[in-house]
Amino acid sequence: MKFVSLSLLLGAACAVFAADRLVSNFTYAVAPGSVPGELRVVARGDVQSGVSVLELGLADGSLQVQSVQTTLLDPQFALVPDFIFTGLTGERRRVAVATTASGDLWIPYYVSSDGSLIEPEGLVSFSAGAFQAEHLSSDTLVLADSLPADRAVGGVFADHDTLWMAQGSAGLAKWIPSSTHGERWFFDSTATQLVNAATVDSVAAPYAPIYGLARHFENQAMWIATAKGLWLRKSDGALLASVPADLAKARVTGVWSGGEPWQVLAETAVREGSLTRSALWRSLDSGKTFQNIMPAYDSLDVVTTAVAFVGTQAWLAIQSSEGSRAGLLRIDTSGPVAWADSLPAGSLSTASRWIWGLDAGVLDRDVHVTGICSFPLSDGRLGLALSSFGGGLSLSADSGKTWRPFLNQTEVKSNLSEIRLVPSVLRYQGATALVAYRLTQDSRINIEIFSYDMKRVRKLVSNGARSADPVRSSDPRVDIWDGRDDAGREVAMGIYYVKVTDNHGHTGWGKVMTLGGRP
Amino acid sequence: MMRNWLMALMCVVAAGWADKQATLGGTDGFVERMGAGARELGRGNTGGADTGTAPSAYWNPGLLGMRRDLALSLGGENRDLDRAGGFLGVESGAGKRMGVGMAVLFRGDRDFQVISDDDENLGTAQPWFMMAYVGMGYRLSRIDGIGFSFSFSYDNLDLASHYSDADMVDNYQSPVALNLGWYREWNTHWTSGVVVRNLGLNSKLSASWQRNPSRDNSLSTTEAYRPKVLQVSLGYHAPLFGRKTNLWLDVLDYQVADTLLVFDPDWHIWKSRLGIETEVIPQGMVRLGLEDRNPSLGLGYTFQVRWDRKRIPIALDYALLYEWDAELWNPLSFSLSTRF
Repeated sequence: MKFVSLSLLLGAACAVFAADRLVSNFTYAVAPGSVPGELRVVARGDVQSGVSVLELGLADGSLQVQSVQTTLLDPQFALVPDFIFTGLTGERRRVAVATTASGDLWIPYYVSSDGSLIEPEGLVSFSAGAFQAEHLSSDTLVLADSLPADRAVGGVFADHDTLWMAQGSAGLAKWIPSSTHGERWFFDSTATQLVNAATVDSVAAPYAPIYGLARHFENQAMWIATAKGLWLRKSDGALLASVPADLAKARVTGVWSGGEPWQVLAETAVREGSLTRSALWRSLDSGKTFQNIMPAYDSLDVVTTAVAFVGTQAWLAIQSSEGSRAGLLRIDTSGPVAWADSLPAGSLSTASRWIWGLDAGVLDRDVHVTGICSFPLSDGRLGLALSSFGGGLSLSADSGKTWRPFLNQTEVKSNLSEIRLVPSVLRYQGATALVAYRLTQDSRINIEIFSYDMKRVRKLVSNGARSADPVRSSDPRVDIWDGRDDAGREVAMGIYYVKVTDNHGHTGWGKVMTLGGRP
Repeated sequence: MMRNWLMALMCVVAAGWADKQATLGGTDGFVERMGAGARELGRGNTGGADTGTAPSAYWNPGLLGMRRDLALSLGGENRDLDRAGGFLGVESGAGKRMGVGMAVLFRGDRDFQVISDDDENLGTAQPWFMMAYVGMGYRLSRIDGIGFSFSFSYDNLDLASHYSDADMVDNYQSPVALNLGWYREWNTHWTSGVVVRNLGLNSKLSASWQRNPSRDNSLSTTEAYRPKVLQVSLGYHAPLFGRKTNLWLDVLDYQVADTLLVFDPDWHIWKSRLGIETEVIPQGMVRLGLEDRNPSLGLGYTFQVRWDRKRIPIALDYALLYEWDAELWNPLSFSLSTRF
């Protein structure tokens, strides 16, 4: 295994600054900080990626961001949530970010050029407001000669100061940063044992892929999710099969543990021809028995990317494999909890009532959830934080009953004297622009879109109620333009003008450009 | 005489009732729709049936056949919300029965703030859009002229320098489209013009094209077209209360479908333009216009300068436009034209 020092590249290149802003609103992972009330946020913008450390305080029962310190990585590298380079979602996609006992946050990263991801590089550590010169190279993550196509990191798990990595077909890797010592094992499902990679010549079958890892409540033991069952690795290295038989032979694609009382969650994805049948299992007795706790899980057609435990509750960040759906699942002692008893007629899917997102008040805009974590607050409780693709963070101090967003928002002038379109250029199909404005008194507003020659192409909001707000009065669920006219057709490439009026005589104009369209 | 005026006004009213089937959004070509010249803008952007209109290559290439002399026209305007525009036209008679001309129409935005997905200001862009026309006309008789012009557009979005995550393209050029025109003087009172715009040189006769916003294919290709337009223009000229007065009417049919020809009214947008002008003082005109619901007021004065023993007329025109839907006043439209 290879241990690489990039002190010149990382140590000299990363920049630290205190600001009120995250690295980007495109956040990929969240993790607890080194002290209560501290949160680390991994994000990547158009140009640079980095980690923001948030100090959070409690005021009137809700979380308040007291300070943000951001550390940027050199633009030639890009932090990523995992190494599965198949778009936003994909099977076996797990947020591969872990914190060791010494407080180091380990994050996957790529070599990057002009915002494009070029090559998986390894894991980089972050602590004390800086990226460390030490990192784990991609040579450790995969066997470069024998498995060049499979760089998948099913999960990274920190046990004290040891990093364990579930790497799919590349097996199970162990790495102790302080000693630069690494080992790799393959799972021999026939002999039900882990085989040291140094002792085998080939990595072909019968070795079964390893997809996930989770801590067992006993010290030095951990759960291993494999394509041939869920296994418990004891501290002496021996493997014990899980009970019952359902999971002993199943294709287990993820495992997570935590909470009070301690619980173990496992995801299975059994392939039946061209179909994949997914299920979610839970054990409340240290893995002696598992129950299928959510029969509707398969119909959601999602994978779980990260899990946060708060007391008896588990919050699961989920994404659909084709990327069309992402949100949270809430699992309580009694099982999954829907955010609505029933959905209004005409809803796309009754399964949507299980997915906590925009409609459930977890998010304030229509963005995808990418990760979630629980973290200790200063009063001893656990807070929840979720990352999202474009929406920054959502924070909760009351176990998910209420959420409040925190994201980068440039100040706008009050009373519609400034209208800001975010972003102001719709560059991609399906892109939307938020109409951002600020009101000093509760108002009813209209939003209209005009072409350059002042023909009205869209009436976006008519007499909508909006509240006064010191930052933004926009309703991010509604005040968004998708580059279409009133007839639903994409408008042609060009510049368009956005008019916002309120019932107090104020009028403001913003501008937006679209590279559209297919009229 | 009053009966003729009433008949002309009835034509105007009927055109005003022409129902809009859809909004005009989602189509390219606002540069073309907005026209050229403060003289024409002041009377509702009408000009297809007037030999004094300039530039003819844009308004009606059939007018080029009636051109006898060299004419230059130049104009500029600044509309609210940082919208700037202008035009330049040159046309001349050629031989006994022909005329040639060219025109360049320009529009842009002087202050477009580029804001990223992360709500950061990336800078200011100045996108601009241009359409160029080159035309030729032929005088069939003393009262009839026909002509054609080729047109193409050139856009510059001025965005590429603000983005580093994609190799963006700023410049777009449309393929050449064909415009056909006919002008006729029926008698001393009535003139007419018919123009067919934006015929493409393909099987659908459609001015359509694809645009790739990035060189590295990081952004998806988009499509665009300019709608085919049938423009029928009428002019009525007669004294009103003893003053030289002209009434102008343009009716336009936009086919907002990228097909050869469709008769479905849902795929057509009808517009009317109305203008009236009267000479309140010698060589001094006052104009009123209405395009869709946008009213306009125009003023014009023609003075003469002596140059090399010749008297050269120079017309200075001004227009005030109110954009009704957007509730915007636009008081800065000027143009200058002359003939040699």
